[in-house]
Amino acid sequence: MRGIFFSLDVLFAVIVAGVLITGFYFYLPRSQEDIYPKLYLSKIANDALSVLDKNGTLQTLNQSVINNSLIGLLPSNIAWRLNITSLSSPYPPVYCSVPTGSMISRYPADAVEQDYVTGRRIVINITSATLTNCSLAELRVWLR
Amino acid sequence: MKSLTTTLSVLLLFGIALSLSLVFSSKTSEFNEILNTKFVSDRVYYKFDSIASGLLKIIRGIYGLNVGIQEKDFNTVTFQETPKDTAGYANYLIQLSSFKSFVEETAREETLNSSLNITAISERLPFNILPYGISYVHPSPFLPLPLPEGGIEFLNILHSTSPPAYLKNYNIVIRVGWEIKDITTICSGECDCIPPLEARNFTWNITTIASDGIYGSNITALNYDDTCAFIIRRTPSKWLNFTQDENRQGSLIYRLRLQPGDPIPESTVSLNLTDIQGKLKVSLPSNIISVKELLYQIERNDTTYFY
Repeated sequence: MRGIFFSLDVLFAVIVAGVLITGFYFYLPRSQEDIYPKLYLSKIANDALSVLDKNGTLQTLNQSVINNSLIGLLPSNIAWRLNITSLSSPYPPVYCSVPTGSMISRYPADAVEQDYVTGRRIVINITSATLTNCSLAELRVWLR
Repeated sequence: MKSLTTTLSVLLLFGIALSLSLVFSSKTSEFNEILNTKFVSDRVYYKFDSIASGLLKIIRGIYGLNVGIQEKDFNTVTFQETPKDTAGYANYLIQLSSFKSFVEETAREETLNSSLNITAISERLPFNILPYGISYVHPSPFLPLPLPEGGIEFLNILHSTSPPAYLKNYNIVIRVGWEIKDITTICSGECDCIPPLEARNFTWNITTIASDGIYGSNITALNYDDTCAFIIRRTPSKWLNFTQDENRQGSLIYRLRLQPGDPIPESTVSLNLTDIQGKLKVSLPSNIISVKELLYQIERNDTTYFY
């Protein structure tokens, strides 16, 4: 009789332990999810593109000028990859219709992309009252 | 008995720990959901800002209309533009349409739909001055069309509220390619154009910069409900006409008559307004830009502000 009691006690203890461990296993990792880095990176990427758009740097479409500005603008713990795709055709009837290539740069050059967030910005160039270029700048950023 | 108590105590402790982790997990999930919503809202905001910025560049850089504000003593809002001729206006529309296509198709993002309502800024290119309820609009149809008496009409300024007690004066500067020595002025209606001027609700201060000097400023004093016309004429086929009719109180309607080949004058119109409660803003019509995130159903449907 005592043996059965101990067996049931052990079985009960194992079941309780199993439930508790399973519960911790499922719920503790969920409670440790952290979306702050994603939000932080999103703001950094989009704010950087806004600044470069508003001060006219992106409109230069000059890789070294843009890269230097980004290096000066972004915190040192951030790695990034910038891709600018452009459409041109400064003649009627349709402007911004012909792809004119893309510009890709990465900093540091050997940085491996991981858990990145992408900021996007529409950039237009106007010369002598003519829409000469429409570009989409995509800046991927991630923590180094 | 002692062992049973120990077992129950341990069981209770584990139960409390599990309950706490459940609660903590649930709260964290809620918090993460808020942050996710914030993340998506930011995407919508940045996309909207990007489109609005491009649109303002097109109005400034391609249409050639600049807006300035000054908040000192009076609130002053200035609009400067050289109206487009038919070809120039058509070209502006094509470029605006190309930008719309780029925004809605080429730059489209997954789960993020953007649309640009260019009709609202194609027909009259209206600007709203807040909080005054004043509109600066172009005639409809927008294109410079022959007036019944000849020439083209291209600029209106209207009040949407009545009476516009906060309007103090208009300063108007027109840069024409004529010579001053040939021009004459005509003042008609209930307004007062001959000094010493009678005290009225507000004034028009009109200055003409001609090829051989500056003419003016010609001051016209008028009440909000006066019918008034002030005409600066070079020949019967070349003139500037400023009017207010009694149905549009506090308005300034500017008509220009030119002959083919004449350069279109640049106009700078400043409104001086008494300071009232609320931030001075100049906006395009409402709901011209819409950005919608499809998963979270977060949408921003708004206008854009010059200031």
